[in-house]
Amino acid sequence: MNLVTIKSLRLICLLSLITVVASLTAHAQDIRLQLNNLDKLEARARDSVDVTLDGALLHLAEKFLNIKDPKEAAVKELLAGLKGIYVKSFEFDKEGEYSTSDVDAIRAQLRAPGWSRMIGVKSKKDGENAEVYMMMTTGSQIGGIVVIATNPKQLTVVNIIGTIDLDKLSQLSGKFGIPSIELIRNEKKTPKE
Amino acid sequence: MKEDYLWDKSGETDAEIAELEQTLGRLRYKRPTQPQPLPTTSRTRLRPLFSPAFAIAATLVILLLAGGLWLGLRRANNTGGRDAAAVDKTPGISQPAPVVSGPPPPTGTVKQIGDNVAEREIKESINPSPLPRRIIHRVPNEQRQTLAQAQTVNNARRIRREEIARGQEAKAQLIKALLITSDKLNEVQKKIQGTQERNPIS
Repeated sequence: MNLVTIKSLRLICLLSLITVVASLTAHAQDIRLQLNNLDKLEARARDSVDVTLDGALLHLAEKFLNIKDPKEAAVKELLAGLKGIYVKSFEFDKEGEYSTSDVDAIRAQLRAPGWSRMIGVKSKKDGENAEVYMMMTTGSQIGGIVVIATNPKQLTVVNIIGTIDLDKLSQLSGKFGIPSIELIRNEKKTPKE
Repeated sequence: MKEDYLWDKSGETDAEIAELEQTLGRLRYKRPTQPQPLPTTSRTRLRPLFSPAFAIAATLVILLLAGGLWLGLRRANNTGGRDAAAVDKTPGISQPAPVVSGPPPPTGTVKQIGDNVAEREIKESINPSPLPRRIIHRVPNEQRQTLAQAQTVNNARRIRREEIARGQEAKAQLIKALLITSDKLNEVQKKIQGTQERNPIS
């Protein structure tokens, strides 16, 4: 094999590697939503939460979790395979502080290939809506999840990148002092019985 | 007046000039027959400056001054050394405050990460301000190295404190984010179950 062929093969290998890395990066960027359009709502909101945790910061937070504490141990279990968490939540004093176009801009990003709407709940009575989108990776694993929850005075968008156990995640709120839904339901049923 | 006589005593004698000559002649300078020796007063005045006694005295004075200067420098070095040793003896090496003016810093032990007491103690610990240049110049090389090490430890502690603060903040954010997500998922679950209860599929 002459020198020109060897050099050509090396170049092809290098270009392939670059392409793979670039496509993976692009995929990761696709999973992460652009939520900057919601920043303007912060000034109007009574309470707002803006969480951006990825890469090194997520790893640093993991190091500070105390596994002897069952609550924090539960959080640590969820972090395996997690690559990023982005949350924007706004609570307003009155209705109409955000528009449907703000939410539509996020929904538009979720029309990209890979995302599928798994759950959509609408309540005309109290105006509460909730949507759950997921991105499945090869091997039917969850690669990303987006939760959009709205009511007339509240808007919450959660974007999680990486594999996550939804059952464990939904149980988490009960462990941190917030009663789980099942407990509430049982308590409500008990007086009737 | 006979001018010739006035000039070179030739010609006719002038009585008036001759009388003046006689009156002033007693005051005229009488040249000595042998040359007089030179006065020696100046030599006797200069001689003590170069005398051996003066040289010995000057040497002694110089030696005394040099000795005093050396002792003074040595004492200054010892003082610096004692200060540095005091720094070494304290529990945290990074406590150069006794050298600098001001109250001594609080001392304490460092505990594990995540312990709130430990973090509070770290936060209340030593001021990591560098030593003044004048003090660094006063201490000898060994002590200077110790002080440099102490400053390095100070910097490391400061970085660690910052990292702890960032870590705690990240942990709080993480828990908050996961709780919000969990809460929202539970709400969705509740709504779905409510819908199923209202419209049971038989």
